[in-house]
Amino acid sequence: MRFASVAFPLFLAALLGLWAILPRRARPWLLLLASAAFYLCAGLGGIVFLAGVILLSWGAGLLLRREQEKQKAQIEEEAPDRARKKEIRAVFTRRKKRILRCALGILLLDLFLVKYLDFVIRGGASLFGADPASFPGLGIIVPLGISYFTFSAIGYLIDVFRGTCGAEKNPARLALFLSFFPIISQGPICRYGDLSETLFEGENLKGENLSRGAMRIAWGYFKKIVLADRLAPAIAAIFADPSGAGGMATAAAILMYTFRLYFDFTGGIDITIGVGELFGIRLPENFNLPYFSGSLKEYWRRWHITMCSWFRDYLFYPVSTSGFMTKLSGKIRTRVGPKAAGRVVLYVSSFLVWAATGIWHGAGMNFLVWGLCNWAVLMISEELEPLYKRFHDRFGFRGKAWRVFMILRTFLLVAMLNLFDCFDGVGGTFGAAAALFAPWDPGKLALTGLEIKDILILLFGGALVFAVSLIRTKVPDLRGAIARRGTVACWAVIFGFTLAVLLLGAYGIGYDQSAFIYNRF
Amino acid sequence: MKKTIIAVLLVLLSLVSLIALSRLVTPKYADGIIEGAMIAEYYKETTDHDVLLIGDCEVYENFIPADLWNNYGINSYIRGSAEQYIAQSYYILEDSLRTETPSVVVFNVQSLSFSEKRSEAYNRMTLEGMRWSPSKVGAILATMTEEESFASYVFPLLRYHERIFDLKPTDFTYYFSVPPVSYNGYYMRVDVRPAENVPEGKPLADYSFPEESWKWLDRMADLCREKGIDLILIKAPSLYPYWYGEWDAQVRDYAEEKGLTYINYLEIAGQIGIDYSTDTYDGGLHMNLYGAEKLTAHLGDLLTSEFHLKSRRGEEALEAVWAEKTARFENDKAAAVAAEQEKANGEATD
Repeated sequence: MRFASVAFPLFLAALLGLWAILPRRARPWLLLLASAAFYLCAGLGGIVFLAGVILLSWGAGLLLRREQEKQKAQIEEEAPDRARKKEIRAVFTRRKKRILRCALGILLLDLFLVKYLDFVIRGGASLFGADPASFPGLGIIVPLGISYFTFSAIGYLIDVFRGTCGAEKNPARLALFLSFFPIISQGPICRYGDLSETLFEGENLKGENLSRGAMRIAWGYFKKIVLADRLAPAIAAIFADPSGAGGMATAAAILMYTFRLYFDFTGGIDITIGVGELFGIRLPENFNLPYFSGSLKEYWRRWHITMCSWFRDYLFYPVSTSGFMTKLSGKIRTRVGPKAAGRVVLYVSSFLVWAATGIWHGAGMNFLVWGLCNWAVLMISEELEPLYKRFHDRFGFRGKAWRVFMILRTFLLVAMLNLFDCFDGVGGTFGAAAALFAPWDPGKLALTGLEIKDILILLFGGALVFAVSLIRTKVPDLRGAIARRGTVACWAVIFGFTLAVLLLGAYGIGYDQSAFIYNRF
Repeated sequence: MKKTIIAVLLVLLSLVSLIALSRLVTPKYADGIIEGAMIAEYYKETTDHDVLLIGDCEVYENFIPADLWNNYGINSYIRGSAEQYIAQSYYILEDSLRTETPSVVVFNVQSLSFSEKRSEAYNRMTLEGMRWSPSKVGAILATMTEEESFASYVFPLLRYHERIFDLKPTDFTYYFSVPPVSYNGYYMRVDVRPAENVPEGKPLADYSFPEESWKWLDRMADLCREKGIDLILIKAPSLYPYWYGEWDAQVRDYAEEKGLTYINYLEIAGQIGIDYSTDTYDGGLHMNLYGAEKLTAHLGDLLTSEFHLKSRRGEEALEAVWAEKTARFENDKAAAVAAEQEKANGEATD
């Protein structure tokens, strides 16, 4: 079941009705059933896989908990001195590490087998001179949201290991956390400790939650169905043959794709968070006006925030503080100096993080190259930081105009990096980039197939999104401000956007109703 | 309490607005492609019918209910629509029999030759005109194409939202009601385009009708038998799409097996006076008014002689209804013939 389908609002309405009549204790069960039903719509195989991940996480969590309890009991029983206490802790930490490694190994192996094995075999084939295209593939259907629930499960187990959250005894509660239907297809990637605060509460339906949630959902649909899906066929038409389309049309398509990605992904997350709000469930924000970033570093603090923080907490920190890194940094510190040691740790850890981020987005060389390009730009920026500072100090480039320039520069950089996302192979991306140097013929813009009405809708819709973003820089809780104006104001927003989606949306016959882009990651 | 009342009122206002918008963007078919309004027009009928004719354009352009009334006293209605699939014919019959039980149902067998779902546009014209009932649900589920969704029939706004950019004055003029576009389901054409060089049908690898088609015809036959209705199968005298001898033989065998009457008008076209140089308006596919008059005369004779339908002339209420209908039909016919004559004279002068 897709968010952008007629079935989803009906599903949601039925769920709200049942939620209202069920007692509080039964409501999490209702959510679990609804999540199972939602997931079943994506196929039976997927739910079996998901059930396996849930059981594994639950079992491993309990084993970790048992070791923690044993450790506590032994310390209490022995009442040891400091050295002995440390020794006991070390023993149990080793045991817990074994459990954690084993569970994470299985989870990552599952992910690898289902999502990446084809890619590896094809890559291997090409290394030995075979044509990768001739390999038919294993035909494994990738379960919906595999990356999201696997990462959530990994995060949960690491948090249990670290003691930042307790192990869940009730498998149904963990199942709901990992399969909660709004987040399963495109995130945000949630932490058990945060989500469990509201997920199992079964809070009564409240007018404020309903209006805030509905406003957010309507806004999300507006961005997805009116804007992103209207851009999709125009972009596809140009990217089908960038060299034939020429420089101007290709440049337009690259910019349109960057906008589409934003409308699509943020629209999807708006719907997700809005659905959570209807039920009083607080989901983490995933974006903070990313296209208002002045640098790539800032952009990655504002875009897909939960994924970035996941990689930071569960990959970057463990790698950069690992035994290997500590040894390496120690050696470099002795031979070259402390600055170089810090840099090497940063470069190597970041390299791994960005390679993993790239691969997480998809099993393809283009995603890997995309990740590494991001890494390279970020590291070069890091190196040039002192130079920038001197430059700014000397010429005094500051203020609004300079900020706007930086935002535009970052936007164009992100647009170019996103190009790796648009083609199956790296060759296609470079082909499109090369097409930018072909003659800029405005007549070729007609290849987009956009009519005047499409252009007007996109311009007005885009301007509205921009205006709302600007307002949000001054009024972060815009929906709260609207809600304070009363029921009629909330209704006007919800109904206005619903009407806009229904009348101006790019859906139905003649449109290929596209799934959310991030569904495939 | 006040808040709840406001919320309920706003929800109601939203629903009413959506319904009103949905009506606005839904095609009215009041001019141009008027075939889209014909299925819905049936529900304005106030009388029961002796004969229902069901099928595609080979029915609604070939028989004239006004003539059946005027010449035979038979009250008939054509529930026809463009490219009506046989499954749709079944459900339209089922839908009609919910409210009336005619003595005879006439079904044109051309649609036996195809069972695949071909056209969303024609589907819409047939299905949207039906009133909501289990028959309509069945018809939608049985015949909608892969690109269609059931929801878009329930909420037409989902299908026609893009028409908001292409609204015409008629969308407002006929917002509440569409004037009659047919004459008891008959679509009148008075122009003439002779049939010339009609090609023979290409040989087929397999002349069997799809199993699916037979299933629906069986269901129609069963439904008529249950209700005590005589089912007449006909093949209109359309020169194309080509009607193969092998197809004809299958229908003939079927009719014989089921004890039904089957008339292939292609075979008896000459006998009943069809002249393909004057009686068709599109080179042999559909009859014009003159061809339809001849077919109607034959059908009227058949209904009275073989099926013993009695004239209902003299029934006061029916007479009153038909007086109005006949007047409209005759007026429009005279105007159309005069316009066609004027056009022909103009062309001759040029």
